[in-house]
Amino acid sequence: MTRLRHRTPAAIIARAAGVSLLGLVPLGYVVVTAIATGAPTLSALVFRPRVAELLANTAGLVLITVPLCALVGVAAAWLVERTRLAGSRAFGILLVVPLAIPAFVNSYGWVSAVPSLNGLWSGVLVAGLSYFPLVYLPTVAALRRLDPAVEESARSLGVPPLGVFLRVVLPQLRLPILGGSLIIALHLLSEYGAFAMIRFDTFTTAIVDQFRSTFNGPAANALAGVLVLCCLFLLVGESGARGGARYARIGTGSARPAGRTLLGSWAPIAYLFLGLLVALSVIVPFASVARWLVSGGLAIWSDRYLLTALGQTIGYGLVGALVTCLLAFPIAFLAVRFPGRVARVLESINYVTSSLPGLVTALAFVTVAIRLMPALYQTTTLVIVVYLLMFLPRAIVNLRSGLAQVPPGLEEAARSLGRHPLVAFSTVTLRFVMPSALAGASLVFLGIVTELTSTLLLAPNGTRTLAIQFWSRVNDIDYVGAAPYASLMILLSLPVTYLLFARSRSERTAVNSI
Amino acid sequence: MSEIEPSTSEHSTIDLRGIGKRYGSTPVLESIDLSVPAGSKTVIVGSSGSGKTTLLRLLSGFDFPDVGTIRIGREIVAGPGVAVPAHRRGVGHVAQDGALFPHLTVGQNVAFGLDRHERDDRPAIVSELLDLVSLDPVLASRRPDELSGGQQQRVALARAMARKPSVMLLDEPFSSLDTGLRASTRELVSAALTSAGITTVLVTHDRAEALTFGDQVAVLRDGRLAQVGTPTALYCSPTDLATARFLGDVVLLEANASAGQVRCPLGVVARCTSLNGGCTALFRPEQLVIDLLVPGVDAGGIVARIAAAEFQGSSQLLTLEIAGTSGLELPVASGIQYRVGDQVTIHTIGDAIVFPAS
Repeated sequence: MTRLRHRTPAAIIARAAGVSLLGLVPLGYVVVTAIATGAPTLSALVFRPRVAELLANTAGLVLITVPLCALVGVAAAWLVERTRLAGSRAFGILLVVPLAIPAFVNSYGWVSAVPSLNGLWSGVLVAGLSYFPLVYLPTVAALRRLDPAVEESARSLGVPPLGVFLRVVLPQLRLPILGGSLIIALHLLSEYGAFAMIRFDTFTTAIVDQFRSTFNGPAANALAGVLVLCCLFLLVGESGARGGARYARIGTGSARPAGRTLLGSWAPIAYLFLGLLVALSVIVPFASVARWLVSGGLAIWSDRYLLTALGQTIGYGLVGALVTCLLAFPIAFLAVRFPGRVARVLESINYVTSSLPGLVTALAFVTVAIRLMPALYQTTTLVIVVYLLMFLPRAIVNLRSGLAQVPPGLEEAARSLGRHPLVAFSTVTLRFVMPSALAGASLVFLGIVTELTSTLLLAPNGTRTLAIQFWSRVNDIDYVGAAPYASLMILLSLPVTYLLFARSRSERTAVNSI
Repeated sequence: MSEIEPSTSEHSTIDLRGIGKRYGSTPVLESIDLSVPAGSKTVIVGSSGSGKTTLLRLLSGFDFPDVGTIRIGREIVAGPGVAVPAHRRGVGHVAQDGALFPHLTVGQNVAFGLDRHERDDRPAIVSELLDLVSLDPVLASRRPDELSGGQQQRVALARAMARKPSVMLLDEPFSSLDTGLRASTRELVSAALTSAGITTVLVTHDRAEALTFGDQVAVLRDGRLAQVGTPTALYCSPTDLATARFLGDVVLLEANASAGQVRCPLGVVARCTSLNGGCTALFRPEQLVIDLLVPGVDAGGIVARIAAAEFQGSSQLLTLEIAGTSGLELPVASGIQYRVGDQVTIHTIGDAIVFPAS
């Protein structure tokens, strides 16, 4: 490996650092605007009743929705993976389907079904039903890889089944539960459409409203600053709660699948719970979309922007996925082949940036573009850059695990057979990384085709993605006209969602990078 | 030691009668009858797929037999209409690689099964148990993944012993350890169990382990018990060729039985009245002693010529040509370097074991 090791890092570090520097723009923007605004103005903007109200709304939303999602996600995962319920495999797939329905489309489905929805509890309902799979899916994956012998040991030590779950299984699920909860909390902070639809004000909806009324005013920036602080608070909190514990299997473990519990007289309750969950999270939004589609008839499919929107959305999705994977590669490569502080710092900058609401990233780049590079403002390039920063970790996580699975011995074998290092790398390693790269690209694609908030802020005039068209129809109270766009977004998302489901059953990458 | 004294021995006998178990349509265990005397160590040995782990799971209560009865002490724990689950059996179980709880420290692992009323004495009991399995009590604050494989196994044993079980079940607990560590861990575990007087059942595929660990060895083959007895009895008097081969190296010779004598190219090697005609004589390699032939000295024995010699480190594999055989393969110690063409004499120690011709 010597030639490869000595020669490549400088170039690769430069590339990785370039992307990561870009990732510092949103945080830099928040800090710089805060300083520029000045303490008196800033405190006047932050310490006012409106901010307190938004903070209470957002905190309430997070504090109620996240534990609820964790509870529902873990219960569903346990029922699907560890009981002998008939149809548990079907439920297993159905419970992932909500991931294919963008939260704002789910909200549209619910508002269609129950027009009076509004306020905190409606927000909890809609967001909970959209996001519980983010705990469910990693928990399923974790349950599948727990060593059944560990649970059997607990039983042989005299602990009854419920005790085994509480004392042995649940503690080992801490990482997926915490990880999933963090992602849900971040989604709750950054979601705009779903809450705007039910007239529930959070920081993000307020920022978008501010931005639309005053464009780039200091009020929006101050709110964005508070929102960023909330995000950082969550990130630090989760990492603290996670601690340094290692929960992987010790040793090789047992190859047997874990035993499944016979529920007996509890089975009807379990069916009721799973059935209700599927009905509320999948059937309600699907039925609403179907209802509008039927009532609109064939006429709504002749919407002249429909094909344009589909084409633009796929175009943005493909270009964004390609660019993101290409730029993620140096970072993933450094992390796997040259692990160390540099790689870690470069990688984690991107995780923090992508954890910030897309809205803040979008605001940052709008500001930077207007002040420093006006030519970039309202261009597709800027949109792609923001997508890149929002979804980069999805590509990094997958590429990294793909690279880590390629034994360096294979590349060395190719070189010992006379291949130039670069040829050996591209013919051996790259080929093996392709499936992971495709998985990462699919996830980025999924993110882009259902992205609404930052696209609304950034897109050049005339941009008509499915999400934007859907949103403008909904804003015109044209629910029928919005239905084709909603159904296309779901259709585009379904295959990738299935991919996520399949991966959660085999490998365990990508699940936490949604 | 008062904390970890076992229950009285009369409760420790394990008794299996007519045990059968199927997975789908595949029979895994059939007609298993086995008794484990109180305080003894029984090894169930068999190749992979023989059903030994299933048998142990039936004993621990992780699985239940389709037919038959399992009694532990005075209580029937599995049988018609009875299925006592694992957590009510009071039976210790050590899994293949320890199955320590990864989210707990070593001390918390050991204390996991302790009753509430023992909570106050927990640190003392934990150190005592760690001491019993020859581990330094300071390890109590470590995480399981900070221990070596052998240490993990001993923690698993201490954890199981904390419940003061009268019966301990060990599922290939040494198989994931390196050779050297395996022997020493086995000795430690064996000593700890003996001193506590716990009735033990060990499952293994390793014949050396089976012969050294147990007071009683049960050979399991294709879901049936082929033979049960003391290690010596099984090694020296196997009831069939497969068992003989499974428990050690063998040298097989075609033989002929007539008038109560079994004759093979090495001479009369056993007495046997039950067979007549062609049969197979079996020797353990250590029963055949060879010496270089010194010309002019009549040392007795059978003369053979070395047709091939393969050096294998501490031993060498000789192929011997004896009049009337097609070459006899015999592993011998490497002390003397034999060469192809050397003439040797073969003496036998003890009788051969005779089986009907296969």
